[in-house]
Amino acid sequence: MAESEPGWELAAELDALLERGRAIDAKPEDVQRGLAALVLTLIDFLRELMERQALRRMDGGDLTEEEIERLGRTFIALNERMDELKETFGLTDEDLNLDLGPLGKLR
Amino acid sequence: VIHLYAIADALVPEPPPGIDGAPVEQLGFGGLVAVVSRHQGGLARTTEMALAHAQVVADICAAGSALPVRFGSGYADAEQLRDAVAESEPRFRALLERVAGCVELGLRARTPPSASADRVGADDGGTEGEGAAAPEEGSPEGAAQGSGRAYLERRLTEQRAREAELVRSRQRIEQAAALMPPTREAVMRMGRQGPEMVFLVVRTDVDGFARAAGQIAEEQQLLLTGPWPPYSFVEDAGDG
Repeated sequence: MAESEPGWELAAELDALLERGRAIDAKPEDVQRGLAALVLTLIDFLRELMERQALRRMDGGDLTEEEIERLGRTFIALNERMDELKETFGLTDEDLNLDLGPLGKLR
Repeated sequence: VIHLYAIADALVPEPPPGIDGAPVEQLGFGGLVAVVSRHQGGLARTTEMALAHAQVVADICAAGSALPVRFGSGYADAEQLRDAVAESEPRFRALLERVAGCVELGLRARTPPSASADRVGADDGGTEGEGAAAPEEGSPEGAAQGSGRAYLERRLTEQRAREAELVRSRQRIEQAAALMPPTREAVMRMGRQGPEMVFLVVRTDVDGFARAAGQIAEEQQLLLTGPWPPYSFVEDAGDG
């Protein structure tokens, strides 16, 4: 129960990944893909946090016209890059959402 | 690896078989009982495994008074599990008292408010987003002036719409819940499927409650789910 906090645990995910990698029939590309999914999930999570923060500041009038424009473009570029990486590793948004069934999703 | 299903305060009579048919063991730790099965290596974190786990937990909770544990609690050995149980013993005892003889039912919207809510950025931001705002796209640097602002404004509008929808959804659920028979506890929480009211219902009252509440849910176009093991009341204990 100490380990059953609702949500998602990086340590547990990494353990599971390692465990899979140790299996006799493990394929390196599967492990690589699993790791990519973890990393991209974290990046996407951070991107979302940043975007929310940016929206809050824009809404609060804390940003100049120029800053708003630059931030907006940065997020567009980030989204594009994420899409590229997802494609490279053959991952979908569902993969990044880390569906753990009844355990829930990361988000 | 020792896989944990539930914590009980007494041996669970006739426990079901565990995941993959592994025998279920009941390890006593100072008056508490950990209901577990042993597996070679960690269990794969797949939906099938999680569902199998949920089924075993449901059977255990139906057989005796126990705290359900979410899928994913693995311990290297009995020692580690013992420490974890000992550490939380007062909390477990309080929770066992709280949910004794109870199951959980949930009330939520039929279609989760913006199921894709938190995913909008990744879903359409990169494609439809700058596609619409920046005709020349390709390199964001070369995008039309104002596209950055247009993107953020669109995201802000979406975010506000989502928040308004969540508030509406919560209100509908609260209004419907107010019409339902009283239960031991009823707590509003943010579930994976949006706002959800969870009811802690004494097992013997479940049929009556489910009938009455189910009808109200139907009329209000909401979804009544369960009965489940009382996961929410075990996990939300910290924040009431």
